[in-house]
Amino acid sequence: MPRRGFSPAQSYVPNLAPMVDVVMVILVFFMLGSSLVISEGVLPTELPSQAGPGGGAPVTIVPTIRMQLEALPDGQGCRIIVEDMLLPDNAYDVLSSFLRDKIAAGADPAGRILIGADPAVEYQAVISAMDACIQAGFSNIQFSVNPNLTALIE
Amino acid sequence: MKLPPTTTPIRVNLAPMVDVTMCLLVFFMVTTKMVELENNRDIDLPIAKSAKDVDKQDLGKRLVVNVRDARLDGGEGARYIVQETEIPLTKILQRLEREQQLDPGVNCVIRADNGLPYRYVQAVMVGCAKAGILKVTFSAVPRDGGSN
Repeated sequence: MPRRGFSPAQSYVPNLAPMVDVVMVILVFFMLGSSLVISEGVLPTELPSQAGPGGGAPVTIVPTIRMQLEALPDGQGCRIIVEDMLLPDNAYDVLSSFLRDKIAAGADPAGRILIGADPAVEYQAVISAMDACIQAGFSNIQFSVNPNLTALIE
Repeated sequence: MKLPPTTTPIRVNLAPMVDVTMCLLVFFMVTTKMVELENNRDIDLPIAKSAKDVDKQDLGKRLVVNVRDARLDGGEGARYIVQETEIPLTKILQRLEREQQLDPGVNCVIRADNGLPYRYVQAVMVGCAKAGILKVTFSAVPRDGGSN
């Protein structure tokens, strides 16, 4: 017979509901935070291992298309010269369609494109030129660099 | 005689849910911190429509070199930041060589400000060539146009 005045034995469970509320808010914060952080893309380049700088053998690069980017004197953008042809300044869509025409005319899309840029050119211009090449369908893009620059990092 | 059914309050057991949520929380906190370590948030990346999503691209072992336009901070030239530490250009080559010796297939990811003169980026590229790093990747924002 249960005794009067005593409730039956109970197991006390801590109330986790407020804790879950707080933890959920923090979780959503970090999830959103991390998804905002990784919102960038990449443009990869790769040299063949036997011909690269570590390959030992001297490399002679015969590009399919040679491109030159020259800084304009006023510092606004750059002049684009492809295969000795002058394109309108800063016209990367013209460059892209020019390269597309080259592929249509029989150029090999796996062939090398050599981009030589003036050191004073803005970095965005170089990336835009590379972007135009990739959009046109070329995949093998290489950069020529001024060997005198090596003095800077020795 | 049939007894009337006793009513017991139903409680949801939240403990397993808390366990899982805590694991997720710690995971996101740690990954956010790791991404911050590699990538300098101040850098204004160039725009390239054809840039591939960094998640889908297998970059392998990578060394991220952040090149910050020092003019934006009131200085001159460029600042090179690797894993939150600013290192002078003269030390970049040593760093690249060390990474190449640790892993010959290392991928050098260059994150540079879009308005930076190309010569500062070129210096890192020359460093990669001298150190024998074959993979160089440029970070960009995959967007259609406009400024960043």
